[in-house]
This record gives sequence, structure tokens and C-alpha cells, in this order.
Amino acid sequence: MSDRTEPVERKGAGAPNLNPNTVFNLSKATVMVVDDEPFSLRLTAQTLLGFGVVTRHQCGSADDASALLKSHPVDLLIVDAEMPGKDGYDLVNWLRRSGVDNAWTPVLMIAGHTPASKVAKARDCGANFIVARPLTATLLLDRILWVAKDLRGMLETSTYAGPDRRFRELGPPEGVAERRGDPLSRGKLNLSAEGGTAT
Amino acid sequence: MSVNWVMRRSRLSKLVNQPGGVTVSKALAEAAVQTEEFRAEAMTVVAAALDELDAVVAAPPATEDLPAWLERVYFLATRISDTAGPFGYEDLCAAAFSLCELADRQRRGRALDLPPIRVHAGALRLLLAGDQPPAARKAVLAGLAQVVERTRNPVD
Repeated sequence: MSDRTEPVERKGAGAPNLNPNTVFNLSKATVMVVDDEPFSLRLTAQTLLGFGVVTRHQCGSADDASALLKSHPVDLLIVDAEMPGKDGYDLVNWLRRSGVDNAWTPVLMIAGHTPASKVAKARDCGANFIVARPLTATLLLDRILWVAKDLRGMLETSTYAGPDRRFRELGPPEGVAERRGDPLSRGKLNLSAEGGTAT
Repeated sequence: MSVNWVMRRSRLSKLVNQPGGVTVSKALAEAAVQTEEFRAEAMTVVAAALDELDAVVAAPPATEDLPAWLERVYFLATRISDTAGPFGYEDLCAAAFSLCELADRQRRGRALDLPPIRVHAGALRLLLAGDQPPAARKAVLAGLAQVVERTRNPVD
């Protein structure tokens, strides 16, 4: 495998086109928000309350988040990419290889400007989707509903752990371009309901 | 290369289709109600970040302090962009994002080019005031884009 689809949207791309009549239920979902900026943390959590999410864990650092992820079930992780010290990419990279029950929890990474030095880190971190700021409520809901429908398999190799980066059935959110490299033939895979191995 | 696969439907994908719930329009309306009280605080945070940016830009660093200085400029630009974004201040966000790009380039090039940073700080102040017509705001952003383009490194 070489160059695969990157689940990264370009700034300003992929304007949400949500159907206002779509019904969803997040009342029983447990969502964790991780952001070192207290204002953004509270704002995102409050937005989730508007979406009907009752159980919301708020963490101000990757260390706080990883401690909680070891012991509490989480259905969706929303992480700020840029944090001092251990950043959002480090957290997700750790999570995917941690072996904890939450290891394959869907992750939305929220990124503003991505420094050139972190582009590869962002690509390889294992998030389901990297959402470009500015983070409006419409964009957040659109990406949450997209990631809820994301049925891509999770894969683990020596260099990457996370969702299959080629969008197969669902495709990226509307307006977000995907980039295909060398498709991996499904015919060569030995897939089962809970897992499988390909070489 | 060995690849281990996990084909498992997430709990989120099951929960989201449970009976009950709300429509998208109702959820967005409720989110707007829930977050409206944050708007004034957001603009206070943005104004404070811009005040600090002005102070930082007014005191250019010694050579040995350049990385930390550019890091601070970058941080303040991201704070402005991240805080103003959810409330629809797209012009302000775009200008702050442009400053992020500029500071990141100078950080990588390890060289200070102060005038374009000053231009960005001034533009942010102008856009925050919000008393410019749309065409003028668009022209400000176009000017910033030109400034950033002119400072592009050969490696970019």
C-alpha cells in the first residue's frame, strides 16, 4: 500500500448539505471532547448538548483523556489537533494501539491550521476524519452523522493503525475530495465479522 | 507487510438509529440556543488575543528569541481563528488563518519578516471592527493573500 485516501478536508471544502428532516438519536451516546482551550472545550460540549448528547466528558489535555479512555466507554471522541505537549494526533495514535476497549472508537479530529511539520502526523494518526475549522454547529453535526455511518474496517500495520483510508462504500462527506492510490484488492483479504488478517 | 483487520460496527452507528431522537433542524436550532450565550465571551477572547498580538508585534524579538516569538504569534492567530469561527466571522478567521500560514513559514525558514506580520495584525483589527462594507473586507483578504504569496518559500 502506498498513497491512500486521506480523511482530511481542505479548508472551506465540503459545505454541509444536511437534510433538515433527517432524524437521529445521540441521547444515549457518550461523547468525549478533548481541547486544551477551555472556551472551545465548553463551546463544543454545549453544542453537543444541543444535539441531544447527555453524557459528555470534557478533557483539557491528552493525558486526562487517555486516563479516562482506559476506564470509561466512549462512543465518539472529538479531539483538538493542536495541543501543547502531547497533541491530538499523539492521543489518537496511542489510542489505536492501546488495546483498551475504546481503541477503535470513532474519532473526529478538529484542526485549524496544520503546520507543515505535522502534515504526515495528521495523515497517519488514525482518526476517522479530520475536520477543518472553523467548526460551526452545522459542520460538526454533519461530520458526526457521517462518522456514525462510517463502516470502514479498522486496520493495523507496523506503520498505521486506524480506519481503512480508502473510502469504499460510504465515500467522504459531500464536497470533500478523496484521493485514491493503489486500491487493495478485497479478494486477497480474509475478513471475518470481528477481524481478519491480510498479508 | 502484515495487516490485521477489525471489521466491527461502532456502537455509535447503532445508537444513532435508535427510536426517538430529533430532526437535524431541531438539533441545530437547539445548538444555536445553547451556544448563543458564548458569543459575547468569544468576542472578548478574540479582542484580548488581538491586543496581545499587537503588543507582541510591537516588540520584535532578538534572534535567539525568534522561535518562541513566532510560536506566540502562531498561537494567537489560531486562538482568533478557532474562537471566532463558530460564530460566523469568516473574514476574521480567514485573516487569522493566513497569519498562521505566514508564521509557520517564518518558523520553518528561521527568519523574521516583520512587515507582513504587521500587515496581518492591522487587517485583523480592521476586520474585527466590522464597519467595513463586504467589498472592502474582501479586498483586505485579497491583499493578505498577495502578501502571503509574496513571502512563499521556494520549498513550499
